[in-house]
Amino acid sequence: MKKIIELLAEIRPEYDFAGSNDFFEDGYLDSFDLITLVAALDKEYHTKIKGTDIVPEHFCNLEEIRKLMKGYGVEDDI
Amino acid sequence: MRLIEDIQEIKDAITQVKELGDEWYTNYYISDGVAEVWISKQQLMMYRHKNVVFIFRKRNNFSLVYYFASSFDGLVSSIKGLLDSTTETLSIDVLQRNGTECTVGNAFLKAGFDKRVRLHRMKFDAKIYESCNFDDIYYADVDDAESVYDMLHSEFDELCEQIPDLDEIKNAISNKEIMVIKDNSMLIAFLWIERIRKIAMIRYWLTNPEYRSRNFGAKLMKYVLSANKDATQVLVWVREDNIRAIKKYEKMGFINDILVDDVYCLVR
Repeated sequence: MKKIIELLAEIRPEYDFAGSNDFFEDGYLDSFDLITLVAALDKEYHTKIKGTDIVPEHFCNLEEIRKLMKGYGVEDDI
Repeated sequence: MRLIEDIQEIKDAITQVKELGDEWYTNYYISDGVAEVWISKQQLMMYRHKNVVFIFRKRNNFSLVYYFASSFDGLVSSIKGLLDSTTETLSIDVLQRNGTECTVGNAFLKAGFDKRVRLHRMKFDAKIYESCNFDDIYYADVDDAESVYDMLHSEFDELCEQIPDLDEIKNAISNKEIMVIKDNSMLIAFLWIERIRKIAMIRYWLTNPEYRSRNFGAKLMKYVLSANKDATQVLVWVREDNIRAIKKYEKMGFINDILVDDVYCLVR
């Protein structure tokens, strides 16, 4: 999860994402941050995350992001 | 151009555009819930030019425009198609981190748009909340909706500050998002704050000009900040040229956040 935490910290360095179970519920990310995160993940892993997958539920914590990216073929220890 | 009838059309458009390139340019940061409300009011239209999708949100006499593009050159070359698709006035928001160059904005300027305004996002940064117990602050009721609407239209620029319509105001009132101070039935001041989980977004904070410099606005803000002390972020968008408002927010404990919003308009 280290790489995902790094990407999140670039977007919002002031928050402890590793300690949160729901980034949106906790107010760490908003809709602009969500789109920024999607773009960062696409760039890092050469994916094209579909429009239907760009919902807060898929990006609300580290495990959900890991599961989503696995679905796009990202098998590395992210 | 066609009417959008289902949110899935927007999601499919995003997917299709992303398949066409390796980059991603968009100003569409709208939550599904908000988009679905706009769709239900038949406010959203979609226009596709080459590999770029534009979404128009119809307002009274202009449209707000959102875009999806998977290459910068594609976006630039589609702007002419955008201008040819309609004869109405257009307004486009371009959000970015403060300090970054706005290449997309420059493309709209070259196409004939004017940069109408820059808005700065500010965030509440004070660690101590003053406790408040003002007994002259109330939730707005539906009878206040027209007064709120009139004050907004007299103070804000419809083209670049996304002034809500009467239905949205009534909806916010029923959701207890608007606090007011009144003198009998006269609206003295109001503050509209929208909670999205732990993010509190100040939509508008306004005092009737006849009642300014008498602390009514400050009372409202202190009360609302105190009532939202559980929020992780309290945010507001302020025009860069509204020095009076910026000073008021700074006095309340707000500082500049990382985002700016440049609004480009083509007035026809």
